[in-house]
Amino acid sequence: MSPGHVDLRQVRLICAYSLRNAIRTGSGLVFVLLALFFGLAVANAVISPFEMLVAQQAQGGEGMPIAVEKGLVDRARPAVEWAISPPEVDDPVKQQAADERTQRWVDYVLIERPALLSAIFFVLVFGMPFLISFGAFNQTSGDIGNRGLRYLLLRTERANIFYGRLLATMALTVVVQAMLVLIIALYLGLKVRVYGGWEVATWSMQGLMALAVLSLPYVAVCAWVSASTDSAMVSLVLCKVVIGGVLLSAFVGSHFWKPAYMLRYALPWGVQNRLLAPGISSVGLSIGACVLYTLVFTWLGVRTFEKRDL
Amino acid sequence: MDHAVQIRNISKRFGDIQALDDVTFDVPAHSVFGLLGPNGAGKTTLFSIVASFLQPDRGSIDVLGHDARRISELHGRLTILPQDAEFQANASILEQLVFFRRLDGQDRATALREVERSLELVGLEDYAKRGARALSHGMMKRLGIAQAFLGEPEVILLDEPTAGLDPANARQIRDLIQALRERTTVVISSHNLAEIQDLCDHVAILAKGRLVTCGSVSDLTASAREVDLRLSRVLDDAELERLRSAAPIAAIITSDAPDYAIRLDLGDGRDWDDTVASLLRALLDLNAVPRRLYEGQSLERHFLAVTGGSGSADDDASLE
Repeated sequence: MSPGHVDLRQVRLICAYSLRNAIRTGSGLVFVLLALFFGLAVANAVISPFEMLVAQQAQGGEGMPIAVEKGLVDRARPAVEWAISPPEVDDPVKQQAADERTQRWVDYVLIERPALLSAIFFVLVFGMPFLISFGAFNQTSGDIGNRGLRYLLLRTERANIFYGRLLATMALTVVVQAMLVLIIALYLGLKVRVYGGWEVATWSMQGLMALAVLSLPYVAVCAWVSASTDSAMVSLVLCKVVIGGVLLSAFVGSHFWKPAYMLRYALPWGVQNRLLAPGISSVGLSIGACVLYTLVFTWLGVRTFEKRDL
Repeated sequence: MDHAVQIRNISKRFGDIQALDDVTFDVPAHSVFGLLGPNGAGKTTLFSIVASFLQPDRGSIDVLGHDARRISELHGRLTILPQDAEFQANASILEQLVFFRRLDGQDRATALREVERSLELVGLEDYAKRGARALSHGMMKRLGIAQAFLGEPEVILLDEPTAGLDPANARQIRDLIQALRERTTVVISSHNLAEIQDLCDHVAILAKGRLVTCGSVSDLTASAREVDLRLSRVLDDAELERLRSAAPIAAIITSDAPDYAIRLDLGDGRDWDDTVASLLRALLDLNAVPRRLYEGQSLERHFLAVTGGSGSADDDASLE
């Protein structure tokens, strides 16, 4: 198969058609429901204890919501530090610099930014890659299996089909994330009212940007997996194994051989938390890395899709 | 353009199986071309390579002057009824077909008009707003054909177009193909040899992945001495003997009775039409009514002969 040229009109048509039909397919609906359920469950797990404490202390006539929030932040600090701190290095000077950077980062997300929202975003950033595969595993594999793609192949280049469906999946993922963040932000801003509206709005925007940007490489890696197999079920399992396996291998492997920690850079696991870091340069570098991952996985996916028998 | 499709040295292997082996032939423009072969001969594989679903290991295919590897550039000039390809179950038929035509480059209004006309051709206009899961197997086949007839295709590949259809719908599809003959090249794969002989003017026969014969139906079945006919009943030995004495017959193949291949005796300058007429008179005298008659060999017998089955009129052991 010679490399096809991209026809933007056809890519747009395929993207719009796929997006329109995404919810009608079982997997699209499952993704939307799971993503909303997971996101709202995380938000509930973070916000409910705070609301209960505020209610209890209000009954006892002591404490204010802001004071309660500060208390929770102090208790959450070690967990956040553990989540974002880099692996220890032997050089004490480098280790000290890394510790200082970590402390600045923890202060940024827990003190300078709405801490409850930060906690929710960190859990979502960790969990979203696992959820994304539910919406992205079947971009092409099912239609390769049932040969439904054959009605399209005489009408458009394979690359257009791949890009159109990839963009539709990315768009659906971002729309679902936007709905989720909007619900959480409205609840925090209008019901909890411990932070200012502007604070919640701006941090929600950055959180949504982080979720959206980190989704791109995971959707692309799922597109590559999906183009490699003609079974939707196999594709789903492979997506889960690849996304979870990279993280697990890095985590378990580093206990036996420290450099195995680098395995997590096979996917954006090593850079995605930095999308919530202080400083434009750090966030910019993370965005750049995610875009690079996306381009590489997309290229691999298109190459696989164009060369295989359909 | 003399040839709508040119197939050159196509080979394709699936693991240990050589699905196609150095297949070369041309499909004349504006012909109805039959692609025949026993199960596993490589017909669907060849269709799939022409439509660029599969990549050949070797060889090249040219469709309407375009390399088959860039087939999508034809934008609807080539269409196909693929075997076993499924439509999306949860989107309406209308929406899917309009989407296909829009990919071909049509605007929405034109696409909608063409889809409605195409669905009407195959009798599915009442199902336009329904999903494909509402259709029976036969309806699904007709939907596939409607999809292949969308727009003004110059080449249509139909893989088993009448398989699974009831006689009325099969007849309707055959009529549609006949109506396309003037302006379109149609390539049909089918196991129904009588249908192919009725519809097609050219055929290629594949066996075990190799091309065994290719040419016009009239050339392949021509025989100056034979008629192939189906009678209303089987003739017994005494009746066969009476037939031999009543008409100038050199030999009769009886193995597929009531289908008979009869080699006529045209010695002494006998006229072909007079000889056939005397044969038919003799049959009617025996109260055996001819249901079907081909001058020359039937395609079925030619097919069986070249693919290794029985049916060779030259095989004296099968003649009485």
